[in-house]
Amino acid sequence: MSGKRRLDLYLSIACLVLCASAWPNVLSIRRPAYAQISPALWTSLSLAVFTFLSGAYLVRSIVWLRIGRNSEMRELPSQWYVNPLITLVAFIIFVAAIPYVGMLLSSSAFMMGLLVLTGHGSRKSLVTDLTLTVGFVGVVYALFAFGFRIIFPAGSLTGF
Amino acid sequence: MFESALHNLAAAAPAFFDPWNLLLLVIGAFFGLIAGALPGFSTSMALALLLPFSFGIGAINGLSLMIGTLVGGVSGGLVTSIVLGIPGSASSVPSTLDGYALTRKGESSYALGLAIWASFFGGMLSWITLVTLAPTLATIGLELGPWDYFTLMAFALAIAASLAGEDLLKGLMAASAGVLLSQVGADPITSVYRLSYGSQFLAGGFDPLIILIGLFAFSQLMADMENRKGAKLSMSHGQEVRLEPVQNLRALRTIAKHWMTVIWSSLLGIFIGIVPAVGSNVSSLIAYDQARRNSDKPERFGKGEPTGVIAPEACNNADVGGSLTVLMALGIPGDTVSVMLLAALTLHNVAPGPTFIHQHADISYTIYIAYLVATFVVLAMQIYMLRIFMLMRWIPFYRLSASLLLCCALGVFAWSGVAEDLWIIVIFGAVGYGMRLTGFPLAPFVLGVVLSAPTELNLVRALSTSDDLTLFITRPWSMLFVVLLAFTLAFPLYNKHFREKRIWGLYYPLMALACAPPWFLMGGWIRALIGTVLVLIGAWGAFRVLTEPLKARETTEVELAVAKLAPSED
Repeated sequence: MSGKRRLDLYLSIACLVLCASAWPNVLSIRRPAYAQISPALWTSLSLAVFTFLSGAYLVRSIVWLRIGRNSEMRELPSQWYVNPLITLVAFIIFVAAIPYVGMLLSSSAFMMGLLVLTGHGSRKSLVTDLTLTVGFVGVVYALFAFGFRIIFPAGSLTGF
Repeated sequence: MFESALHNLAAAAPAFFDPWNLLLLVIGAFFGLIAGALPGFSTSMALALLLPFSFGIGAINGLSLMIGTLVGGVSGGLVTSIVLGIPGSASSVPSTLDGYALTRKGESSYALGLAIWASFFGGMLSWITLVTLAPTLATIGLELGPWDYFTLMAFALAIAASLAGEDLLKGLMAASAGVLLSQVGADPITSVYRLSYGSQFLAGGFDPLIILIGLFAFSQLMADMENRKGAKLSMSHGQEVRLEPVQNLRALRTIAKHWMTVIWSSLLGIFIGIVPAVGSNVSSLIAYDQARRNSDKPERFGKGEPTGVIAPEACNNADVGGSLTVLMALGIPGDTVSVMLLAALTLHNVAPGPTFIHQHADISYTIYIAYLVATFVVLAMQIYMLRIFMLMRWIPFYRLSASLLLCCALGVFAWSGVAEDLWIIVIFGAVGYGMRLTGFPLAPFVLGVVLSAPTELNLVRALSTSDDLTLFITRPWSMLFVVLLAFTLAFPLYNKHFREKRIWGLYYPLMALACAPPWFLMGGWIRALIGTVLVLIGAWGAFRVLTEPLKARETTEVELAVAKLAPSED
């Protein structure tokens, strides 16, 4: 409970830090001689609104922390973070690996890896997952390469 | 006007009825029906995934594909909600109450018939509105100056924020963060870099399309995988389903008996669709609630009452036409699915607005025809291909999720041709997921991203034309939008207090009274009449609130759900 309450406080501080870092950048936006209205106007206006709202969020989170009120957040199942984390990390590895192993191999490995890590892990399901990976990646690549004539990047290590 | 519309329809028809284009529309409708049927695979996500491909196949083909998906997606939720009791999309939640109750009584084919035909009639009424109202609204749009557009867009952002659950502050923060984010990179007017911090990566800015895919598809898939056990299961959980042919005639007879419910719910859907940023998930719940209030036997609702299926299904399909009307006539996206259509039009260098229907008659009339044809295609598919959609219930979610994630990545690469852009999906996927976790609504954020550029453009135009800042509140249309903006910002307070404090009962009467002066200022007898009607409504409403005792009535489940609902992310 208190974690949830503090989360609002931390978020509001993060937003204010973001605003503090953005203000010098906004104030240094140059105005070209041909510009009738400064390009910084809209940015300053929206940043001012965001800063004000972040300040209000900070005040509210402090008040709510004192009175013990929680912000509305959805209920999460136990170990809710495992699969989203696996998905995010797998995707990051997939993107990072593209220059080295190419799009074809990287995406096949990503899909198979994700299916194994988030799926049942039984032998039967592994066979199904492998079949799905080969079939799906094959069909999608054929569609992209021949249908949309898109050339996917080759890997520096694999050459395809 | 009628002659010119016919001429434009005749001119757009050959390109539309090209076999390749029709095939794309059918594929889109099929894809949309599948997306609508699968919980966690929203229509917005389906449209976001299709965006990169719509660019590669030309404007007319791309839009036909997108419209097919949109109409299919809105209708698709009814199949699983009625047969399995699992709503495929938020807009089909109310249909589950009575639809699934009918299924449990062994009447699934009848319930499906009711939902399918109600959706069809809702869609048809919505199409009529789109064709007739959009050009009229566009004519009114021509009267709007940059001051009016600026306040209209501010109103759209405020309404998106105020409907974002109960937390107005988070909604407003999300909207302003979206506005700020869209400014990273070169300013579209002067090409001066803003918020780039000297980084080359930031100087390029963020492509709204990639932001949309990251926010709606990637983050949604992450959220859907949270339940580790649930992700491994199929939608039906091994439940066997007996499917019989849809009872069309019986359903049509029932709908004919309740024709007023169809019309009223459709009108409600169209109206809510027109209001910027409110979506079909809100409208279908309101329609269900209205049908129950107007019924002679409200106690039957939730136990298999046919109008409990008819009302929400007619309403959520009608909502599409309403939001398309505003998008085409004013360039304002009504909900997140309209944001996707706006993005699709922008990809083809077409900017919707008051002159869009006349200047891009080929594209606007393609949208009209595509919407009409898609409604018939979806009807036929739902009647004859029900078994195929029900096959989807066997797919475990983790397999669907992995396949869709790969589609996201390949789609972005196909669109941009740069593998580095995949990092933007990672960033916005994580941002979107973080927002979902911490209760920040996505819809205002996305509307902020999309509406920032036109809002800025109108602000610059207004200030370049005149130094007089009072024009932002003294011009009649601006005044109207400012009044609506103020009342929109107060809506969460009204929603919280109107049952306990009499003063909040004056919210709607005061809004009607405050909206009247701008109509008088606009000139013309029709507008003066509208102003007079508003004054009368406001006075009558205020009199009733002040003279009648405060009724402490029970809050229904539907009202609670409406109060908690965020703008449609279907």
